[in-house]
Amino acid sequence: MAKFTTNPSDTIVPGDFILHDISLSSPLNNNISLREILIELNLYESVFKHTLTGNMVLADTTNLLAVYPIVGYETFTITFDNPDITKSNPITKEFRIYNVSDYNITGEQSAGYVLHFISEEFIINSHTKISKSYIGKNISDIVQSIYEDYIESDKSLVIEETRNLHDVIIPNWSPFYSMTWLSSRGMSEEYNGANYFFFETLDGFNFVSLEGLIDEVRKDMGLYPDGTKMKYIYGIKNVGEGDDYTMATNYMVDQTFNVLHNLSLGMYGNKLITHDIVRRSYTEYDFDYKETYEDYIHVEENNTSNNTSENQQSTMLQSDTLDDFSEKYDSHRMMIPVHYQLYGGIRVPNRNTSHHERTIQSRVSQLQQLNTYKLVLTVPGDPHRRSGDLIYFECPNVGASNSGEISEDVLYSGNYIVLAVRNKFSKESHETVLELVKDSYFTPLRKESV
Amino acid sequence: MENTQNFMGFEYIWWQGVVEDRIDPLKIGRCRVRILGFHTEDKNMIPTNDLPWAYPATPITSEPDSTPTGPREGTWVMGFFRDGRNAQEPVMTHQIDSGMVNKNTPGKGFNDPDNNPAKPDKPLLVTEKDVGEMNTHKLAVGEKTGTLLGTNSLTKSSILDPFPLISEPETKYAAVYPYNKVTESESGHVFEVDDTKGAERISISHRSGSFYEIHPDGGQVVKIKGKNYELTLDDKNIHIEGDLNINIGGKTKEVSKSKVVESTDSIYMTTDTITGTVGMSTGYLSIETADGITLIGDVHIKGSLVVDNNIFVNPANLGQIQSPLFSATSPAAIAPIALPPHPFGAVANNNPVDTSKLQSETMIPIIAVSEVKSLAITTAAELADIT
Repeated sequence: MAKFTTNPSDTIVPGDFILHDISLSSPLNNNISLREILIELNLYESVFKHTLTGNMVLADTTNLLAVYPIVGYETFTITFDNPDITKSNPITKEFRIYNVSDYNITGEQSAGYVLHFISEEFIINSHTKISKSYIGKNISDIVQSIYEDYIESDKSLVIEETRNLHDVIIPNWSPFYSMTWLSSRGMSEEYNGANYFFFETLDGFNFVSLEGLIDEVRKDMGLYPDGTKMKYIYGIKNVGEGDDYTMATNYMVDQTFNVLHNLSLGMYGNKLITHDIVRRSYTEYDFDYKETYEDYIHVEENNTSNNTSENQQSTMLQSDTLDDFSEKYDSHRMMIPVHYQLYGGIRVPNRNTSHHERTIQSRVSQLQQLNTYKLVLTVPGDPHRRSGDLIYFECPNVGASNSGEISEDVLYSGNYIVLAVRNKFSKESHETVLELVKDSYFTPLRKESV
Repeated sequence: MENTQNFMGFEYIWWQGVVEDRIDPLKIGRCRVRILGFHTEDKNMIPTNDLPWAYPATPITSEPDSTPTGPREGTWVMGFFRDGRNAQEPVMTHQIDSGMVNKNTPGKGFNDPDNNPAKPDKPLLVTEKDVGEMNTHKLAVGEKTGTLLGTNSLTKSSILDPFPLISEPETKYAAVYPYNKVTESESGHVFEVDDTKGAERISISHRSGSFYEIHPDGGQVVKIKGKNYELTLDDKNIHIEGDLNINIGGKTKEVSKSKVVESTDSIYMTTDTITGTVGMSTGYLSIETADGITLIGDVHIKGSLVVDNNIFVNPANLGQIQSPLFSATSPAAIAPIALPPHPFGAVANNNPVDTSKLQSETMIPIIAVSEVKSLAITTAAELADIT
């Protein structure tokens, strides 16, 4: 059984962790350790969240809230280590306390409550607004500029270069809202998709596309010979044994296909109408999931082997029905304004090459693809897992096979992108809960009937 | 409509801002507008040249191809973002510019940057308002002083002085707020439609002082401070039920293919008594009157005089017909006869000679020539034969 230990010489099993430091400090008070009153601590990151967040459940017998006091100006520091994985390279993170909730009296001299914390950068973001023009710049340069000028963080920022020049004004938005907005307009210099995200992991901030994250792993065969950053396995035989941190302790299918959603949200096909108010014209663009499938990087590489026809790729639709859905452009209609030479003039020429209309259709489809198959996987505490990681999950087939051997589930096994990570620390152990999504099947769907 | 995201029109965001540039490179009336709450006033962060062009929406009553160029630098306008919360594509719909005059600070946003190289020079007579005043036009609130109209009425034409035939009438301006609709362009042209009770006017004034004004009684004053050209490419018809009075400071020259002057009463031509000359150069001149022609003064005929009827010499003035070759005097034997009321007085022009009376009562025929269509009276002998 995994455990919370303070002694590195203890026997280490997956899920064990060393909590070197967990303390509060404030401008007026010295550090105070929370180790003794900590019940549970959760650390969250997600590609959909700008910063790390977290909370901790405390059992307080000293009325710390009033005595210290904890009023929202405190800094929370945690240093932890998973000896079997981190090789005694502790991870230290600092956060700002911003809220107390769920306060309740648990005894005559004890109270329980939840302290919420968040990265300092989010506090800065909350009181910062940007009203600034960025003319003739690519999105990644704008992101870099905003990060340096407004976030003022010492943390690293990983940026994947974008293509096209943009003329934009950030109209009094917060830095992170601006980043999200810019994400929706970013197209990778190298890839065709439009699935940029701005998010923080334990390593720092990222402005990257999911395609870039996937391809980065595939290209680095030296570091990732299996083509993924991690392989997790789930099987009955593994439950409770806990002798391998690759063994998933639990998995839950959170979401599977929903054709109605996919249709109405434009995953298979969508139509975009642009109206140019200066040219006095409109243009219609159709997006076809089938035709463009190979233009984008997916979690699974195209696999036409096995028992599939040549045309059957790892798509989410069987080829027989593919035409039916992907050519139904009217299932999701969009209309956006276009303004010829919106910026520029006699003194400043127009340099905008953004072609925003070309990103919106693929982004709509790609984001919905990430919303098709979603798994929640619980694994032994893994401080290396990050949002955006490409991992492999081997899921056993729950049906009996003819040979009696346990085979992989053709739907749920395969590569996944980690959308979100929850590191859950308790007195007993450190668990990592991963939210996984996939946009393609490891085993292409059969075209022939069984 | 199921999908309202990324669908233009479901979420227009209204905004208000100040025009900072209207030199639209596309020349379709767009303006660069600094939008309050979205764009900072700090021009280091958003220079005027970085502002997006706001598209001008126009009323449905406007002509489709007309270009709305109303707002100027410094004008408050409002509109909406076509792209909703993205707030990148502004459209101007209205001006919201009525109110107090503020001090312009060109270096800060939300002001006239005053860097428009094509902006007209400050006009001489444009109506100015002081900081703190309401910017409603003075003429709209009954203040004539300090306006083009007020200035205009004080500078009557000096050429009228020696020509008292016409005097420039005073303007009938007596506007009461809010009945006078006034538009003044930035160089100082003024358009007024004044519905003030009892002082209804229409006035169009050029910054130079030329103007056109229709008075409450329907009278009209047109004043041109420069040269005036009026071209009509077809017939022009003028109907005047009263008098026509024309002051002309210079000469009059009229060129036409033909001219007919008809009058139910007299026609006068008066020139300067010393230098004035009435000249007529024509191929043929025909004068036809019912009662004859009176010429006051000597008549010098450089050609021949052909008379189909008699020539009379007024004996009262001892009239003679003289020539180096011929001389005839009225017969002295005929005593002067009392004349009828003097036909050649100072006002004789409107009292034509009654030739029948002259012939029968006061005159004797000196020469009676008949059948002489091309006669030249040349010698005394010929005359003697005739008489």
